Amino acid sequence: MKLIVRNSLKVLLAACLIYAVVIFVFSNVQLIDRRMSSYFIPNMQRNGGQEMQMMRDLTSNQVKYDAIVLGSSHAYRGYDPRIFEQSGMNLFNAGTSSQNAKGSLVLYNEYLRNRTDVFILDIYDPVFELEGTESNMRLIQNVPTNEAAVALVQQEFKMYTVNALAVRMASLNPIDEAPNNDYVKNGFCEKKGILYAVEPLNDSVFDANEEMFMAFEKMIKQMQADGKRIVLCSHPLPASPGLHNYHDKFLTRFTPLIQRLGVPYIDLTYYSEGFGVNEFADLSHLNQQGVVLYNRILSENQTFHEVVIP
Amino acid sequence: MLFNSIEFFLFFPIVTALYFLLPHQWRWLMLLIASCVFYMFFVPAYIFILLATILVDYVAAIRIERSSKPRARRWLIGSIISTILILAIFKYYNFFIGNFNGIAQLIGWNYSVNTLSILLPIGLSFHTFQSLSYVVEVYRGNQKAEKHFGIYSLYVMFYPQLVAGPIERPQNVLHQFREKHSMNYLDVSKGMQRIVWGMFKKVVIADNLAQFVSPVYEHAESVSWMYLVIAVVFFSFQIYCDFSGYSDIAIGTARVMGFRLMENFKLPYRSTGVGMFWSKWHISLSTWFRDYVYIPLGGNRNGAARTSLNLFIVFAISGLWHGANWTFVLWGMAHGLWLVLENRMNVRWEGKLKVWFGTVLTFAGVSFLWIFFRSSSFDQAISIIKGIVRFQSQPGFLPSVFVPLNGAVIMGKILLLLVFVFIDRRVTDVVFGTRVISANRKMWLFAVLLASLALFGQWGKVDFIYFQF
Repeated sequence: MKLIVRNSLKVLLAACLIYAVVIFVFSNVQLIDRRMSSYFIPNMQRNGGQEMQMMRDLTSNQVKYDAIVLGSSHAYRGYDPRIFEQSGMNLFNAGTSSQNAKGSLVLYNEYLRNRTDVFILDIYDPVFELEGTESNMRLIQNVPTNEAAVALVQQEFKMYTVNALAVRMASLNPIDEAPNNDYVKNGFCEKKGILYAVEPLNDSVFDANEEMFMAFEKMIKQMQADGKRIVLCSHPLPASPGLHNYHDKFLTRFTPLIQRLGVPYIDLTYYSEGFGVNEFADLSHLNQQGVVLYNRILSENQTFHEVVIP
Repeated sequence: MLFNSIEFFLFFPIVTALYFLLPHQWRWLMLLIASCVFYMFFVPAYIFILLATILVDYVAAIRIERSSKPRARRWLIGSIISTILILAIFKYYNFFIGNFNGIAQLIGWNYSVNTLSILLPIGLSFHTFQSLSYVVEVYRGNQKAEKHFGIYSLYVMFYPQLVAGPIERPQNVLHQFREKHSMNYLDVSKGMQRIVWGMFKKVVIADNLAQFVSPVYEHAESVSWMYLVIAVVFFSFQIYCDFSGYSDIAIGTARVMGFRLMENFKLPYRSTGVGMFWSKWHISLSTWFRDYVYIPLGGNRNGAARTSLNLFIVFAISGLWHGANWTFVLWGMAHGLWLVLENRMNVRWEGKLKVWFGTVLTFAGVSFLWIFFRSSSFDQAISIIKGIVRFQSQPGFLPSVFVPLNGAVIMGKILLLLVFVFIDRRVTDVVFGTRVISANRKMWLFAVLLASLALFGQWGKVDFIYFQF
């Protein structure tokens, strides 16, 4: 028995040592255009991109914003601070790729709580289906403080996120390896291009990830406890066959939750007036022309007005 | 419960510790309860199907032993029919009904039978075959009927090999449940080595390759021929690492508790012919078909033509065993035909270069046939083959599912595969005990494998491919 324990410990210690050495090498050695970690470690992304650019913008000053947007790529590509600026509103866009409520909550607690009283939460159905690991890994790699990175790992404790944290800690000189050329300012990225064709949604069955709904509820309750004003928004989507089936299923699960929480939801998913192929960049994103139209509609929306400018 | 799940990482040490802590007379009961818990993690209600099979074959075996030959034969046939019936209902009913409806439509007969909306109980093909082997061996007089219902249930339900084999024989396993195993260093270390190596093959190699294979098969018409070729090669290693990885974990888990299960894989891609391949691939199934189908059909005792026919029949049935789809049947028949031709041509690969050539040729053939095995339909298989032979270029843009699979990630996977090809034989030899290395080197080897699990593993609860059978 003693021999078994002793030898097992030896192997485990040696494994930890190898792990540490490999992580250090992979985090610092460049292979062609990126660090080795993003070639070999599953789900590991290149450092930087919109997440890093947004976090730099956010932490470079202590400005208090009129509203902050949270959500997925729909958020950081769908709410243009320049348009809201025209109506005298200082908006920051803290959305990141596939950002889910777990990631949003950490950003809120670590960076956003004291930066505004109003939160615009962009709602995109598939985020409530995904596990969210990749999205949180991107945040772990790019948030400016280790405390936030550790909090993200606690939210999503998996081997992948532990690896992302290890890579982050071992990186001697983290640089932006994949700058997003569409980045404008205040977290916003301008999406170019025009929708090629409207194809049917492959998977028209909404498959809820209950964990995401629970995380969402927790986030809303915390924001409400802090006295924040919240509005939920969804931008229009191309009228593809299967969309209604999918979004209606989502609403069946989502509506009772937000009614219970008492949060207003401006759902423009089916809104089609003025939105054709020229207003979309792809099946799930508006292009800049669509963003201009959507942001104007939102600015004129009474519910939006009531929450954002009480 | 999946071997590559967090639940198993808790389940395994608890069950093992309990096994050694409990007095010998209670161990079978604890293992049986643990096996039930393990099985019920999938679809709990299906344990009743398993219990039905166990009950029928338990009673039948006792009756066979106590009866005269003709009566015993009737019990044997009854047992086989009832076991096969369960398999037929749950695995093949919809397949046969689908074919029946298709034929009815073809001949203009306006009649169709409804299919059933049922899930295939996990591992059904494995434990029904294990159960059948017991009844046949009792009938043949090679095994005494087990009177202890709990011990017999454990023979069918022993959790390490319950859902995907190895398909055991009663002579090898049954007596082990009565033997008293005490914890010893050799069993624990050998068992743990097998588990780590199996996990590495499954989580690091198979599941990493699967990430590329699945979308390529799904979007075969939208990717270039290079992607298709890579996917075909990747799948050959995916299925090998997935299934042999499962077998290693099963054998290792049992070994830690002192049980010896039969080997299921012996470096099958190092074969210079399809015959050799099948003597190294899923050995427990190949030998099952040899003992219970091929030999009863006459084996090689009735001339070359009949031998060929027997081989062909066995492989066709083996194809159907794998799945209720004509793609599996075709896959099996193609292997059967290949084996018949190989036997007839009596090809010998002698000399280093020829052996190498024969190995590559066999791997290419086996990989090609895996296309039918992996495809969900003939159309999918044909579109993959067409895409390769026509050097299909990538039309327009890649489906969005390929976005995370950029060139760098694919290169990473290719490199990972090359590393595996290099180490497979060496590590397998160490794990099997056919290559002796110093304790220090062994410690570092398994430390590297463990670190690789943490660094490169796909811990997304990906099912084992053979679970569907």
